[in-house]
Amino acid sequence: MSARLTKQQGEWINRAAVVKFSFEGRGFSGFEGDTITSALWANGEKVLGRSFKYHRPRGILSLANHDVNVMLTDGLDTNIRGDVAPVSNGAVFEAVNTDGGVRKDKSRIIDSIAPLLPVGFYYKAFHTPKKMFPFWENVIRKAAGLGVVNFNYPRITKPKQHIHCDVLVVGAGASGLSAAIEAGKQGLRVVLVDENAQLGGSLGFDWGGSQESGKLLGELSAEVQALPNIQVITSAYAAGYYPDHLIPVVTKDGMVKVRAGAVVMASGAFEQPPVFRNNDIPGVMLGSAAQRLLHRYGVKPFEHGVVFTANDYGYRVAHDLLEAGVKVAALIDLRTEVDAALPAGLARRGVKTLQGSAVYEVEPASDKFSVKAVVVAPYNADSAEADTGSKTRIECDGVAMCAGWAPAANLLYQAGTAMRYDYGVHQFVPNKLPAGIFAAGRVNGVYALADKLADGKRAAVAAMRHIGKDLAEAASVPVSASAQSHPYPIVMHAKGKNFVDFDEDIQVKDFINAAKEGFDNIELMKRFTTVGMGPSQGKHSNMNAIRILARLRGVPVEQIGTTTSRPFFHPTPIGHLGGRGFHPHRTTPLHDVNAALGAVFTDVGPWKRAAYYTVPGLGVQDTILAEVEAVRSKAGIIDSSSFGKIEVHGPEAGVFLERFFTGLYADMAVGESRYTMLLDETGVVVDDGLAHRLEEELFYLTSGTSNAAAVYREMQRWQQLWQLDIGLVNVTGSYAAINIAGPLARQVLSGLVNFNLGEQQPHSAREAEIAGVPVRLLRVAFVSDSTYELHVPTTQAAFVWEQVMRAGSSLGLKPFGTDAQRILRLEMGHAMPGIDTDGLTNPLEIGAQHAIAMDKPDFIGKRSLEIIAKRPLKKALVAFALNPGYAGEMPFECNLVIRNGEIEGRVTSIAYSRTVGRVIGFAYVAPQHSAVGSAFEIRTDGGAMAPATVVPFHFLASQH
Amino acid sequence: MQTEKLITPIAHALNHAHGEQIDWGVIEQMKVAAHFGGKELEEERKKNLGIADASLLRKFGVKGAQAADWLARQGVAIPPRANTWARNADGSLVLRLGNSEFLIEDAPGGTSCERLAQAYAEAKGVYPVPHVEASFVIGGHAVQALFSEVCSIDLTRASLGAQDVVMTQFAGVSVVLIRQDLQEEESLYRLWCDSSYGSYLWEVIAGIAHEHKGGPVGIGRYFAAYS
Repeated sequence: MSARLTKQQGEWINRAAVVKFSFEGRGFSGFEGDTITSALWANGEKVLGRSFKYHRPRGILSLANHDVNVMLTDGLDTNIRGDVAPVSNGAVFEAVNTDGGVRKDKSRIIDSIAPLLPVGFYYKAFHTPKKMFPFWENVIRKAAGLGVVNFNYPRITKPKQHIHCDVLVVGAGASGLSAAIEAGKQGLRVVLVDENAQLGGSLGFDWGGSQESGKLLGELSAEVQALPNIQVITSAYAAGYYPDHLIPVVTKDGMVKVRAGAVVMASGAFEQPPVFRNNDIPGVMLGSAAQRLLHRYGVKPFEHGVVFTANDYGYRVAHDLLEAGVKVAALIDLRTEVDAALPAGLARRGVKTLQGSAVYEVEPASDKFSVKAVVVAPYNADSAEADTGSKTRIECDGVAMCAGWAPAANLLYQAGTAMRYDYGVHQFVPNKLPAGIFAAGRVNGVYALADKLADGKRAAVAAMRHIGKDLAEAASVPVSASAQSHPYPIVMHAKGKNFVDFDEDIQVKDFINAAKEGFDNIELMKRFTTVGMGPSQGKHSNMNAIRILARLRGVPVEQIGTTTSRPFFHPTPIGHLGGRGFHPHRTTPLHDVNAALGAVFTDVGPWKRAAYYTVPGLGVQDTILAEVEAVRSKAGIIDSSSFGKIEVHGPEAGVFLERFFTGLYADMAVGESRYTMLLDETGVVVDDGLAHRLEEELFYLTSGTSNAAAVYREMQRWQQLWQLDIGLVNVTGSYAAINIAGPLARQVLSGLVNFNLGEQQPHSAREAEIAGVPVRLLRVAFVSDSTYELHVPTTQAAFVWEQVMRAGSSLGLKPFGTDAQRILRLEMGHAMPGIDTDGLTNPLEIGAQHAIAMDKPDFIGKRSLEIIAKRPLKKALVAFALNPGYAGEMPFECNLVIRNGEIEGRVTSIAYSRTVGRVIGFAYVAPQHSAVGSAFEIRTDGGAMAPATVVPFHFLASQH
Repeated sequence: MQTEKLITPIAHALNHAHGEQIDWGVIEQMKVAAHFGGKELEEERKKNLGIADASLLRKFGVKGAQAADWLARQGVAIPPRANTWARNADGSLVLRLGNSEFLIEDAPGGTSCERLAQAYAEAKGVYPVPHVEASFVIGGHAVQALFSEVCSIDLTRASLGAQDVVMTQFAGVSVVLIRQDLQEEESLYRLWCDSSYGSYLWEVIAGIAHEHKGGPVGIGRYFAAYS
């Protein structure tokens, strides 16, 4: 039977567009604009999902994005919220978390053994024997849960946008619309965000039997539309608050990060359910959910129901039900004292009111799929118990329940708002707001429609004053003097199933038991019972949980406090957080040249560097060793463009270097190159490199790839302090670097450069030209004693590379990558900061005394080094080799050095060197064991002990 | 095969631009992508969200305490304060990147940078800064949509002054940005970034531009001297 009403004013559905879809294998139709839930409900389908733990049948609760028991999958996506997700033609929906379908879910058996499964049962039941825990964990995870992750889900880009505005208004109900219009009229940039598909908030459904709200909504919406400076974002939620008024707004297709001058939080309040036995049976729903069904989707929530209320709002719901033609058998009011006009108004329409009464329990149909009747009894507010001696039974097929509101204050909490519990309105309201944040409407404890409009306007004026608008302060709007929420809407029942948290099937007794076990702090209780930890994050359960705990402990609600509210406010897909997925990376100007040569790239810091160059038919390890061999026997060429390159200009450049690095530089001759080592102020090795004096007042510094940017920043920082007459220029991106290394390197270059290479000494630098391109030619010895480093303007790098490759082709010149480079530098005995040192290593531990001029007036880290030098060394870096012919398990970096069963150090670098014919590396050992010839063992990943011997650092020289 | 002596720093991105019909050419002695498809396609892209490679425009930079005075003596228009820019009489741009750091970029076909490079001598307190940045021209009605995706600061006309130089991050990369009102009907934006990030940033911007029915266009669509 269709529950669809005739056309309603302001309804969200388009009756001209029929949508066909299936649910649990059966075909249904709805209208464009329907949610899955509203379309199913219109078709008389009331069992829409199963609960998380007990697998109880569930229907509508809020119809406001919090019906987490109605989670669906369409075969691709999962955990689709039926209460807000639109129907679409051809969609095939199934409920998640069932075993055999939503009606015949085999797991429903769990409901019948619920007494055996109180909260925390698995903490206690399955921790021993330990080996069985994985089994039970698997069982529990299968029984309780949500949808199954689809690992074949396609990559859908969810862009993130940044927008800026003067005033951000969160919530487009009466207060939010009023605030946005007020700010918009001043010509400011206003952003108005609402999670619903259309503007209006409760104006669109809470009519109280009149159509005035709908009319007002039309007027306000028209005003917003007439102001082009108001940007409206609907179907989007403000997900969190971050400093300086940065608020991520999550839309279906992505995220908008809004940076606002001021924020008006008109986020409203979540309706809270009263707690009574079987308050979860399909057909029992919040009053506001019934109103949404009626006015947004033109669907009757039930045919003849009752309203169970604990505030005045229930009367408005009853009138709306009556207007829609729903029979209201009775209104049960938990309160004894009520404004007489309210029951009188209903009495005139033939509805009796039972004051001071409670719905003791809902009597479900035998299959628990629907409501059969309610049992009503007088209510004792002190004991929270119903007098079952005087109970009556009312046959009905639905219950609209209203107990009060919890402010949607999550973002206010995140912003640092101090809240207080107001005993007039009986809810938490802002007490002290952070600068630039303003609250309006229900979240501010303001409920009457006229007051909400005034409060929105007031908040907007305050926001505009905050950003500097010269406006007179608006009159304050008082918090509602009448209670909009019941202080304790709980009805005890000996048989339980009076649910507080619908997400996780948590009953009143679970809280009592938790408190008895000592979990009587709200944060502890939350974690033990898991209240508020489900997908709705406690939006309809936390307030009742606080009230229950307060009564259990006999303290006021404000002493219990609230749990921490963290971003994001609402579950958000990972894809939204990932966004488009920017991965900034740097490519050298020779990237494509390398690729054409078969390079396999690796990430080195932000750079893409060639790790090695593939050779058809050759394995990776052999390829790398062949590259090494080419350098040792003939010549190799490597793209080193990622190396850090910094120029220091000026008359005091030498002074700067002597203060910045550990060595001496002021006395360097033009054309000379010298080693540099940088320490931090604690004497820890940070970086090393080379300084080349190109001119009297120009030093050209080169360093490794990873630290270049950080070293330049550090130089700028020190220069700010020292104020020397120098100029610092980071030219890392301006110059490409090409190294030609090996015994034939000079021969490769000799026909290219415009001078006699034989004249250039080791450790020197000079300007030159190759085929008309200016180059800086450096003689270095990092990977080979015979290495030339060409630094050329970036845009001409490919041209120069090609010249060199052509010149070297007949000499066996081969490209080599970073993997071969690591072995080559290891063979040369060069330790590398960051690889062979860590965040605590001082230069004395790596034997770098030669690079330190302690007799200089000062340098960074000198004072610390003086102190360190007086203390005994704790470790020493040594070069080692495994025994010739070692055939055991290969040790890796970070494997431990073991001596007499104790940890003595660790391996920092290790590789097999075909040149040396042994596995070689660096390791830290105790200083007393660092002499050449000392033996130690390395424990491999597999636990084998590899014997090693300390050898001289220069492995190649040690071979000779 | 002879490699050109000068190649655009975004050559890697262009070489891997799937689906683009690129006509390579040499402009200002640099190998660049002269056109991406026909005129109609490029004009459509330009209208929506166009991006062009302007890396070929020669650049010259100096910094140091005496840099402003030295440039002024060379007849260069000095922007009044840091993070602003000015245009020389010959159309070249002068960006004041800090109190004492300047970037000059030639107007299309201009020779200011070459003249300055020749005039530069080791003047006290003036240090040369080589500039080989990747440089883009960006324009079109969806340009703010692009900016909102790649940059977290407000770059709308309401916030970005006509002579402002903005140093910010685009998609995680440090960039220098100005608004250059080259044509009456619309604003163009000029962007410079480290050449090693050029290919990455080009791919990001071109990718987003495609989603707005825009995309890469030849530099000649923006600068008539190169059409």
